[in-house]
Amino acid sequence: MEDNSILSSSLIRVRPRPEQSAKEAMDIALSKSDLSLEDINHCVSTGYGREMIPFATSSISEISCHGRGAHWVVPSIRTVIDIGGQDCKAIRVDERGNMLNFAMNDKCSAGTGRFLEIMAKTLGVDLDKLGPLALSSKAPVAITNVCSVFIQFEVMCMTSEGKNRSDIAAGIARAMADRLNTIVKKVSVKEDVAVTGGVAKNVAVVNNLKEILGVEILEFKKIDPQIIGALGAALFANERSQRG
Amino acid sequence: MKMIGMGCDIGTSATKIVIMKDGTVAGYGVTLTKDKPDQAIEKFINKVLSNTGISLSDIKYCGSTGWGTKFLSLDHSEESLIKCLSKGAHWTVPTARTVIDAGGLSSTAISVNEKGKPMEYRLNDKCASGSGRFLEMVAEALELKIEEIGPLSLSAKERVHMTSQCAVFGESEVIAHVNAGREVADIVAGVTYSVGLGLSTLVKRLGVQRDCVMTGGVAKNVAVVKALEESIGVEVKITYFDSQIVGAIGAALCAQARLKV
Repeated sequence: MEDNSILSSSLIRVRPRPEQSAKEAMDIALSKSDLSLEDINHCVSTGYGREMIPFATSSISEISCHGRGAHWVVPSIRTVIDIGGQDCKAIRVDERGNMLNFAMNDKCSAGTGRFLEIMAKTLGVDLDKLGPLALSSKAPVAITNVCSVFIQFEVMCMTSEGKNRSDIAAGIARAMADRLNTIVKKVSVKEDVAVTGGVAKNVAVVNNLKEILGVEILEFKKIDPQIIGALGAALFANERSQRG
Repeated sequence: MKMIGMGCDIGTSATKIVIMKDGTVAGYGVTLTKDKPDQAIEKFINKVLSNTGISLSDIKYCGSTGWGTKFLSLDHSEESLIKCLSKGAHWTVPTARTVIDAGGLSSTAISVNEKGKPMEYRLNDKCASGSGRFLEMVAEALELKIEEIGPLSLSAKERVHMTSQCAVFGESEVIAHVNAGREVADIVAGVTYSVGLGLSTLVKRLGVQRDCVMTGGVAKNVAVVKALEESIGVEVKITYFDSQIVGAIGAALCAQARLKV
């Protein structure tokens, strides 16, 4: 970021070691904007591997970063539902984008991106096709289990029974949204609501979530919902470098 | 007159068939539950029978239990798994008062009376954290055979500490330990320890009564059994038969009991 605008961004699948992932992603982002690491005044790291990044000036929790990032994109946002690969968080922010309170699940893979990855693999579709596949369903199946491993088995049985794959995908999206709801309802949801993280890209899950929560969910049109945490970190970095 | 019967336990992971003749096990078989179970089960029953020289028409009673009972087309009575596990465990170990069963997906702790009747039970059929499937996932990730995990765990020098409860996250944690350069033995020791500990919480919720008997596929893992023993502080016995067929034995016994009424 420069002042208040995004110069470039990058998104990669994580490597075994966080420092390796961060370096690769940073190199891509720098090369896209024709910058070098020396041009960066302040770098804030966030996420699970945030303490292990050698070139980071400081680090901030991803909960604060998601709140700040989402608020920057749409200032009217008061609730951020961030669903990443291995956790899910509901974050309430004030009118300045500061975190008020949050609820999270990082103990159980049900209700995380990992769950959708497993389901896509079990159904034999690409992860980004799971949402569209669900939307074409007329009669979603009812998923009875909660656990990812149990649901994987349930889905395998349905597949071998010859159930329609789009109906199964729709059932999966519903089960995912039900699970998310158990976390989201722990914070008092206030509009406007946004979903960030990789799972925001699954339209079927977002639609189900809208229906269950009974609220509108804003869509980020120009910014990838998966980079909101990094965006928030950059906003903090900007603030800190200006402070000196 | 010879009294010949059969017990089936069709689990989410394994199908178990037992042939009983005059109160003894005449033959048994354990196989993976297939994708389309219907015909596979019948074929497997015929295979088990052919090894014993008994024909299907000799079978006077058949009891069936487990998740896949609905796929069994043969004439049978449907028996509750809790009852079958209790009866089967009591039949093999008459002193059993606590039965701990850990199978492919679910695990159960049952307290039984001196007649092998279930009194109370605690069931985990919601979360795969301590399941056989979790051990399979770890075996796959580490490219080990499932039966290697127990003995390998016992050779560990410094067991890793597993922080994940969830089977899916546990698998990722295992891979992270590999990437961090930890010994495979130390990693599987951490896994089996956490599975044993998980089972112990189920047993403790029920209350430990001696003798404790463990059944199901996970009972074949020595390291899990050892961790369970350490945590509940009493010896855990394993049936002298294949631990996986206890439910099927119970199903046969339940069906036989119906004949006498």
